[in-house]
Amino acid sequence: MSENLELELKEMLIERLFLKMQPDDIENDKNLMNDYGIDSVCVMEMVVGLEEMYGITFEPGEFKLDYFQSIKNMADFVRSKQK
Amino acid sequence: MIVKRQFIDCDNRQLYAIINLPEHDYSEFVICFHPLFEEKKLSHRFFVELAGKLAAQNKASILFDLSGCGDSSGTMADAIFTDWQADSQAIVSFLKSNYPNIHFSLLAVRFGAIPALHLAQTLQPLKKIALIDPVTDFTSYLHEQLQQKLVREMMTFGESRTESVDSLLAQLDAGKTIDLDGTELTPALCESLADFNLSQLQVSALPEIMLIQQTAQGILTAAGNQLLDSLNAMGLPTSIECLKCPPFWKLFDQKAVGTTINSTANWL
Repeated sequence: MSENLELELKEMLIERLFLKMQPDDIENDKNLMNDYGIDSVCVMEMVVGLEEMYGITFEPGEFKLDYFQSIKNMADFVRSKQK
Repeated sequence: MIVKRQFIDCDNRQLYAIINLPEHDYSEFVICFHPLFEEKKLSHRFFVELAGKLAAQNKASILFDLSGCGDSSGTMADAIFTDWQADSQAIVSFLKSNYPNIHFSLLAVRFGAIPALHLAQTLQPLKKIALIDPVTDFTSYLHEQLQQKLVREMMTFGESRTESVDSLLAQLDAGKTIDLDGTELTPALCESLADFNLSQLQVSALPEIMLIQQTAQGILTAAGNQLLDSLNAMGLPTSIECLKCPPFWKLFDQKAVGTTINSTANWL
């Protein structure tokens, strides 16, 4: 895993969701749904992206919106799964 | 283009079909197979616009609803794969009776690939098959659909109400029906599709196949490569088109559908 996980996640988001923005345009703490218009279809893409990029398996009870609210939350979730 | 909308009989069911005929002489009919669930609704515009393109190339097309789907009779609660196979055969019989001396091509989006490839085993004369991000592994597809259900629950309630994909699979195993966006997914349907195995299909007509995928990277996915290997192993000449644009059946951006329509219509 790269030391700059947040940047990787932003790049994944931009690529998989065909967003017309740069990684720097996405702030780590901003709400992805409210501020960047991420919807359920996009979150599904993020779930698949996390599975493919980091080999993450979502365990029972881990489908929580909080993990996808911001880049920071996603990064924290990925790090917790890597421990 | 002349558009006919009609119901076609199949056993005790009626299948709703939209038939698109070119203004001039034609000798080819493209039979279109729709995806399931939310993807069916989101891909309808693709089929409508594609039909216009095909008609402009003097190719007729037919889009029909599998029984239990769309405007065809029955419900998804009663749907099983053998009925859908019979549906496809009924459409072919109808076309052969009403439009003699035509060649067939098949076009399938996502799940539509399963009934389309089944039909390809017996359909003659069969010229081409276009498969758009085809589903050929029902187990993976089912997992994906159930995961989407969890994500939708998570978006609505903050966390999924169902524990996991495995718990949904356990419900199916226990004979319970699962609601997918208002559509019933029954254990009987899953059971009837579980045995689908691409490598066991016997396609004697050897049609040309085009595999189209729309991905973020613009390259064939692992599943796409696996499918390509299977088709090659079956001796089916397969070409590939990878489009770097959003999948129209997910509706990130409906404007992107034009690229796929052009690629598909030009190849067919």
